[in-house]
Amino acid sequence: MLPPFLSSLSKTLLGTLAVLLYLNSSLSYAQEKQEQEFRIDDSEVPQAASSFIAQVPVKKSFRWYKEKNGALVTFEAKGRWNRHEISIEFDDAGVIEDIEITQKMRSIPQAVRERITAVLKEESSRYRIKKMRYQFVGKPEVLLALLMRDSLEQLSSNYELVVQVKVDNAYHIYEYLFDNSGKLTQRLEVMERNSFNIQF
Amino acid sequence: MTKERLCLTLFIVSTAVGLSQSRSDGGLLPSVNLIHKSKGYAYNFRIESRQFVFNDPPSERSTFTYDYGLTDISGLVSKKVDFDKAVALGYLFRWNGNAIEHRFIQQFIVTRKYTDFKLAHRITTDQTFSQIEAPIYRLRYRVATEFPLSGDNVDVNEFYFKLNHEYLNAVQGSQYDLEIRILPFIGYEIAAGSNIEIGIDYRVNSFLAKETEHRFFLGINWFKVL
Repeated sequence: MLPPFLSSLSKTLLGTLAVLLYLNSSLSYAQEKQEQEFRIDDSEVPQAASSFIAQVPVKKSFRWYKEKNGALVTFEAKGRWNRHEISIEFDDAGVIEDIEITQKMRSIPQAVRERITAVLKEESSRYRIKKMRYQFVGKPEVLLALLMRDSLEQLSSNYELVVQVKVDNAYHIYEYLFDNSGKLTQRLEVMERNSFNIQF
Repeated sequence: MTKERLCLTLFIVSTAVGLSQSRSDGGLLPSVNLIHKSKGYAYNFRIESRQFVFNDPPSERSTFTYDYGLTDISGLVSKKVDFDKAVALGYLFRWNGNAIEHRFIQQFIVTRKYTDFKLAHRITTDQTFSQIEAPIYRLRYRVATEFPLSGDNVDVNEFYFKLNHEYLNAVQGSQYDLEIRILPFIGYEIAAGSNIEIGIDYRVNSFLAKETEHRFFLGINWFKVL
């Protein structure tokens, strides 16, 4: 037998929980869909993608992920190449789409870097670059030849930046794509999952 | 396991205290957290209940009996002040079966997102007042981490592992005490903005001057962004 106060509180809590669970189930269908990524075994990877990766000279094996963005499915191999983080993306048939290699901002040629910085400063006076990746696109044989090299010098690429930006007292995260001359070609807002469960 | 994860795990495990010549008790610790975001502010409304199901004094036999502990109702308002920093102010109302306590809370939080895990540092000061006890003043530091169990990010319908480790310094009159908490939890993302966690909330206190007290709670948390 529970104390009277606890009995009534328990009933209130259970009732509130039931209402909120119902609201949660109905609200979830109205929320924006986000890209979903999950780890998979090598056996689940398309043969064409496995064959491509098998030719890449790396010391440690890649980790495979399957990404779903609505109806679109892609496969991603993540690992390290020449001491840099690398991500190689394939379509659902296993055909390579692009290679992204994480690098420092200072590795970008100065003139291009200044052009990129000017674009970011136009967005906001307060910004912080979280990550910069070289993005290489092209035919599979060209991209494979790239991975056989020891360095990325003299290669033409796009630049993908993940940037935290403060605009009108609100904080946002954007993914910017610049071409090899530093011209902005795409800007997407990244909807990051909240961290309330480790903050509160 | 990466070097960072290994160091963090070893650091937390190394602060655990043995169970000899001490008392222990424990039970259930469910909580509901409702969060609303608006114009740069986040509002957290929380209800938590503490219920004891066992009591193990060192000189007597263990007893398994139900005993109501307390109920906390709290509100916290936080504001981002930098890309990875936030400050928060809050108030907690506590009913412990005998008396009402009022607690005022101030927090500073730093949250970092790494390649495949998140880390949050939280510094808290709080002041607790009631009519039957002297005021209690506390200074707390907590580190919390979250590791996805599938992929590099936690997505809907995926599990994650959360580990909290906290030090609470408390002063009441001329008495000082230190409490250490370790909370390993498994979480599940039910939907975007809604996750449920279950795990052990282990607390050890009174080990600097008095008989050490160990508390084990089965924690069940629900976080819902409205």
